[in-house]
Amino acid sequence: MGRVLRRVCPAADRWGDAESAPSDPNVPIQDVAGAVKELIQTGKERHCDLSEAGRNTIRRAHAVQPVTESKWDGGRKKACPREIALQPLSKSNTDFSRGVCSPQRLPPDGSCTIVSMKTIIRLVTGLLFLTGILFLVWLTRENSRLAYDLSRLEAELGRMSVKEIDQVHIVAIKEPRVPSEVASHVQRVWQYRLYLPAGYDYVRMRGGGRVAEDGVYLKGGFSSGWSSPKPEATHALVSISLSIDGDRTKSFFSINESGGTGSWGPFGPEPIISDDLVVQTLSNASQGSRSFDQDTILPLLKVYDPKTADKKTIAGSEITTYAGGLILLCPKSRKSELDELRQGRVPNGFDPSWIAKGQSHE
Amino acid sequence: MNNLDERNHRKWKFSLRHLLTLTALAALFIAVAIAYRKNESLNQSRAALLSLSSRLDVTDEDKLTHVALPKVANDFQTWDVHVPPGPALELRLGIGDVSEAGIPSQVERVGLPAGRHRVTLHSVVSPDSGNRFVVYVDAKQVIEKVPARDWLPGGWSSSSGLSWPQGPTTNEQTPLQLAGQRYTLRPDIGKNNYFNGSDDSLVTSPGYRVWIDQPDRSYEPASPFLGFEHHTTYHGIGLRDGLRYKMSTTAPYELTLTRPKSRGRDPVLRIIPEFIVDGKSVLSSQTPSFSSWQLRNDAVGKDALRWTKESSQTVYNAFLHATFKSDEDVKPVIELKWDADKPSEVGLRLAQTPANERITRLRLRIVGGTKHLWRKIDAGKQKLDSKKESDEKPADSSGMTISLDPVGEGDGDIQINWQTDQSLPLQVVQRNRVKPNPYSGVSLYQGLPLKFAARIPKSLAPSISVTRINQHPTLPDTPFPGGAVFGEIQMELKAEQDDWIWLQAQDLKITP
Repeated sequence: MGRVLRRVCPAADRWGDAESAPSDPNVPIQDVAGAVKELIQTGKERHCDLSEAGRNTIRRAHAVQPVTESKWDGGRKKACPREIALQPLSKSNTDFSRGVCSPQRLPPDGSCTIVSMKTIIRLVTGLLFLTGILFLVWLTRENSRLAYDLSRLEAELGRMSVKEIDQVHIVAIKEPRVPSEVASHVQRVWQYRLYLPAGYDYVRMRGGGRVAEDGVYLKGGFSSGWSSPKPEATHALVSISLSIDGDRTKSFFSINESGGTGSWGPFGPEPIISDDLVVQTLSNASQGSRSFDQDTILPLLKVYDPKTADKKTIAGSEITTYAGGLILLCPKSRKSELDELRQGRVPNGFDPSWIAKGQSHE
Repeated sequence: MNNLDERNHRKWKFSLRHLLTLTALAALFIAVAIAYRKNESLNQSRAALLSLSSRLDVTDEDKLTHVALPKVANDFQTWDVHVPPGPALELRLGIGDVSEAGIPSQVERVGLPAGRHRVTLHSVVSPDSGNRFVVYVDAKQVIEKVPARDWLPGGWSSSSGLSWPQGPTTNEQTPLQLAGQRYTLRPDIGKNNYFNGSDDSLVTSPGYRVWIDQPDRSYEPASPFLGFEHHTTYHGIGLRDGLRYKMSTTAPYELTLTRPKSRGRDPVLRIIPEFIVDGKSVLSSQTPSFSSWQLRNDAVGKDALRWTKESSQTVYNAFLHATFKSDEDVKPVIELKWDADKPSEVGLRLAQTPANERITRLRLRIVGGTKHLWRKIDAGKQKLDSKKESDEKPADSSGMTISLDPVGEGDGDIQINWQTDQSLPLQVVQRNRVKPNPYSGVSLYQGLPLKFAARIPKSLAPSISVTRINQHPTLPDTPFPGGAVFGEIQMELKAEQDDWIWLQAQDLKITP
């Protein structure tokens, strides 16, 4: 027995700090436990390691000397009186960092599962790697799918690159989807996708009568609607159509399904919307998207019949007017100026850059 | 031993392997974070564009799915619809009287096979162009319905969308409504007048619904009553198109009755009751301990009002229990009654309950004459005109009380009728006056003009009087605009618990 103990704990009179070593397989563990028990009783034992102890070994030792607790703390073994410290070593004799074997949790047969913290860290690290890689793969695939989906949506709704988030962006939709049963009732359709920056506060206006080639002059009936500025940037779909209603031209204008129709009166002697009409749009499909400052008046669409030219002197200036109509968005900050410009007057400090030019002529 | 201690106290060493592991983990984390942010951005952009797109996203082949195409004309609405395989479905167009709760009785239907379809509704509702509804499925006309000219006589002044009726939750799949619209008739008030009244979506009015449903499903007409389990009391309880009791937040003691069908949301009748025991008032608008009227299912007052819907039931009752901040001996209970056969009336009496047994007399003040410009009263042989009365007897600031002596026929009821002398909506009267507006400071009823009546059993031995007011309500020493009005009608009655007092309010014929 002494040989056994000296092999296990070579220090002479106190065994508590003995370094662990593989146990001799020829010495029954009950003998070792019995010796430790004696040492505990004589006060010589603080703790003693038991190397390469399997479940059965622990169970047998436990039957002789009850195991109270065994701890490893960062490689430091805390000695506890009246305990057997059990530290299984790996085959390579590498040290385990941390582990707990609580006798209170021991099953009746005395078996104990000891999990090393080092193993846990390795497992967690491995799991993190695995999860991260799987998540990255999934995200990459998902992003690829979304990008493809976005490109399809942009093909439908017009491509727009919003770099200046404080500006209003507009792009014409190349082929507005008009069902055949509806197409037979409308002569012309335009659709635009708008990017409206956060807080953009605007008035929409639709009017028909006499218009001028440039600017926003309009003599005739008109209707306007006020928006509520949104705290976040939004996308909007603008639909405009012209159709014939009796001898008059009916205009439809909506932003995100909010809008209505109005009568613009005949453009010419015949109640038709001919191809000879001059159409000015703020954007057409071939031009791509355009962007404007928030305080710019945006004439989305102007339509007039060039054969109905009539020169008039308004506010001291000679203006050529035509039968037609106008649809525009105006920032609320420019509403009073718009009212003057609409009547052919020039407001104080007027700068032509206040009004976006309809560069597209169809 | 020192060596052992050192080894035992040996710190965990950070090795190159650990550094490499951490670096790899950090790189992986950064890559995931960048991809995640990009994913969020792409999802936001996609959601923004999807809301503008007309793409039909079918995520579940077994689910009925639809998407609305952007409108390009006011009278056309188009949807792409995915019809799941399985039991056949049909597309229905219903035209007729609708409300938030109602399904039109006249329904045209067409089968809708499984697969993807494009459904278009062309609706023309115009007094000039006529009324016409056409439904197309996959560009083919499948339903055409032309309502009669008198469907919307005089055209409509406003229209509003309808959602599918809410009802008791069932396990059955809810039909898919594509469109629903109700039209508010334009009152004939003359070309130069403008009327802007507002009803609510529960009022029945002409309209239509388009929906996809199971072929064997049918719908009963909407109940004329409001107050069932799934109703809130926000819109009041009572008759959908008649008088509804609605608790007043500004005057909780008053019993207020509204009539949204008349295009006004303000009360049309305001009743201030007073309960008397042996000549002493036990509850009136001046009782400080009064807390509120509580709506209950019965005279005992255990359960909050929750009517159970029975299609054969044509009469519903509600009980108003007076509650107090302190314990009171007498806690009156008023019973209200609605009868589908009396669409413009509401019955009122002291409920048959021991709580009312000590009450000997009931005094009712019907107020609101200054809002409705009550100027004519017909009490059988006695006919009063507030303007003529004022000629004979000058009014003081508090008004003058005139006793009525209505005589009923035989043992029948006594009836009094009262109304305004105006034949146009009062908001039109108020607007058309010369400037400065003499009605400034007078809050007039904004709905259509109404006429009122009260039918009182002789057994209640009613004593009736009216108060004529010739003072502007806010301006001192100024006559009431347009002449004196009857501000309120008072009735003092025996406290019988058997007999009903019927109050009536209905639209007055407008003459532009």
